[in-house]
Amino acid sequence: MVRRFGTAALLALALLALAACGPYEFKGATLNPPKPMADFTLPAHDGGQFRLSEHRDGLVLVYFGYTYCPDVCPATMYQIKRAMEELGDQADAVQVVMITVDPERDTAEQLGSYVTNFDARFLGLRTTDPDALDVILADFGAYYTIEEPEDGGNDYSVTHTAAVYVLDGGDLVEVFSYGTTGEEMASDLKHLLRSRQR
Amino acid sequence: MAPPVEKHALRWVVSLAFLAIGLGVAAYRGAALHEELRQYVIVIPAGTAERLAAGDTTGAPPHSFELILGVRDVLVIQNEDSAWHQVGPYRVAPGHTLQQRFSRPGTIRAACTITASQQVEIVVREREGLFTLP
Repeated sequence: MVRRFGTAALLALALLALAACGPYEFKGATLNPPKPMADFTLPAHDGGQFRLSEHRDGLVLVYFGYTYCPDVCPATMYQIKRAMEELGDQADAVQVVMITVDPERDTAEQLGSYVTNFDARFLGLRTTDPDALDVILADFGAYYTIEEPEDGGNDYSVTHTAAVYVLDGGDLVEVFSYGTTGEEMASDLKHLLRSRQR
Repeated sequence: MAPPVEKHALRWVVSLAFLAIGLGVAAYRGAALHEELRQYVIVIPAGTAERLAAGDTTGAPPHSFELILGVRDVLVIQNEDSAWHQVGPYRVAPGHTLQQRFSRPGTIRAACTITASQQVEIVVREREGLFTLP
């Protein structure tokens, strides 16, 4: 009787294990095939240079935004911060960069203060060369438009792509749309990091 | 102390309960995997951007179109054109395919480069059925 009980329990456990298996379901939008990205180098807020090709050993999260953004940017950066917290030690394999689309107002100092307020490991990237910025944006399929201020002053807003781009080995593999939670991002990033180890 | 017959009966009940749980979870998972097969594929043919730029809307949805998707359904956008295309929040590079699984209900209204109206509405709803998935 005890043996039958054990067999039944084992069978049930095996079924449970089988049920738990299955392909991983990405939360973000995945690209097939991954899109190889052109290398770029941009000045970082800390005085260094960020070169994309130097980060092929890990994941890179790229976000285009600006520090004066009233809602979308802080909300998105907060979710990225949550994702990094969720990743724990694995976050060391992920470099987050925010590329400003408003270099006029986002000084290196202000950009640095903004991104590190979310996470000390985040990097703010800034170029005052609009052509260089446009080339990078085009490669990501991103865009930005500086809206005309109503009073003609400096109080303008910038319409921009609100996605978070995930690069793995220098290739664009996934895009998180605005509204993706930090937990969802972390889940996908963990899966990507696990896949790299195989 | 319970008589031996009652102890045996209890063991059988527990065993059957284990089996029922295991089979139930497996069936649920099986249903979920079946549901995962639901894909909505949008193929953007070569020359779409050129045709639309020239005012030729042949084959393009004339107005905003509504995609009604279930939670866990997968939207697939296959861009065979030589230009980037945007369907709502999703921008797809030439020659690439984007896949997005939806995890919660909602409505997205946004720009679209493959409709004549240049707008799209994607509606995600809970699908009704025996296995309403989380």
